[in-house]
Amino acid sequence: MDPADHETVEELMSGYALRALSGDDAVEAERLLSEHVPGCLRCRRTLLAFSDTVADLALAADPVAPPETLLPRLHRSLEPRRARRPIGRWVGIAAGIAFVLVAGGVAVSQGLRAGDLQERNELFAQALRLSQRPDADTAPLTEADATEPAPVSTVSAPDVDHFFLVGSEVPPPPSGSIYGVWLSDGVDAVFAGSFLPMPGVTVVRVPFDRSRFDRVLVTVEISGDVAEEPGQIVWEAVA
Amino acid sequence: MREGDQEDLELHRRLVAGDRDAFDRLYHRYSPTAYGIAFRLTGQQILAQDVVHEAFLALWRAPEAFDAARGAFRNFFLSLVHHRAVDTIRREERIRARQERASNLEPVASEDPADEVVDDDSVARRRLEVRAALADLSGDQRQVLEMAYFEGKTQVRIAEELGIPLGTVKTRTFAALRKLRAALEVEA
Repeated sequence: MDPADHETVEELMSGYALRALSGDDAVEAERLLSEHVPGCLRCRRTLLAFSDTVADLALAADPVAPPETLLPRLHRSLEPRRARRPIGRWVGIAAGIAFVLVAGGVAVSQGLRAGDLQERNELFAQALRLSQRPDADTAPLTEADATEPAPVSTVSAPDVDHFFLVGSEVPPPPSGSIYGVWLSDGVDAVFAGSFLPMPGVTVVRVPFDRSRFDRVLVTVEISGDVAEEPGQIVWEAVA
Repeated sequence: MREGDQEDLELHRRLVAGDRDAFDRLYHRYSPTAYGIAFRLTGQQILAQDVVHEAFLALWRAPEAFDAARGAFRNFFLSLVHHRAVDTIRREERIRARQERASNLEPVASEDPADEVVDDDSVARRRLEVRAALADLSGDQRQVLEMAYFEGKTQVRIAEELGIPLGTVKTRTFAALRKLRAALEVEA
């Protein structure tokens, strides 16, 4: 590659490291990150250096003491560490952020995509690719009546017509019930499907129309029932 | 390896083993910086608390996400905080835009930050270096960098707000990061 071409890639990487790309630039960065950067020492070093430099920018802000209630709140959320066997990582290249996934679980769905191991792995791959996009948004759902994060997160991107619900060690719903997924505009809610988690990882792909909906609800529904209104909301998020 | 990095590595090793004391020590070391950046971006204490809470919880739940071969722990964690803060303000902007369309709500006002804090020595030294390097950028370069990092804006939006071509934003950003990188690598 011509040195000038490297400069073009590096210029794009500077915007990527800042998470400031959108549209065609974000798509081009995604392509370069998968096709060029892994095999180019110069661009790889530049990206890592830019990512480090961007991380340092946090120090330019004034440090502020968090409220004294924050650490106790965190302590309440710290579940004991479980023994686990990682089978994969979702790597956010700029920050090295990854979610360690846990072996052994398969999401089972009725209506939503999930199922056997091969299909689950394909869903992993799709969610992984989406999470690596510069404009991807990964957000934990929260418990309906609390501010604690739920064991499920959404992975989405602005121009994608679906999102993923990804969870680790999602607790089963009460006996005789299933989890329902509803899409809402804040007034009405539309049933999108249901799923049953198993120990391990749950990945569910949910079709999503951003022009109609701005939030996702996970509810408890009676198994086998045709729900017309959302059941008890257990987790929710604004998309 | 910079001062403080070795101690971070040891704390992280203990964190992987489920050591809550190591978690607390990392919290005391980095929560003021994390809260400072989260507050700077979100402008609201409740959102800043949520960002820091989520970031530390993610660290506890998946400490293996940090790979020492990819850089310093501090950079990994502060990037995690920044990403979550950017996600939060972009999400809040979408919500606010919908709410304003619906009811002309007033934008959420900023709140007063909590008391300032005294940094860990190594963090304090690095903070001075970063601020000096930022001050050394041209005003144009610093402006695009701050709009992207501290306001979570895309380059397209920065170009729109400043009324300059997108290419100019890209060029300034690239030049700014290269200059910062050079300055901070020398300092490190």
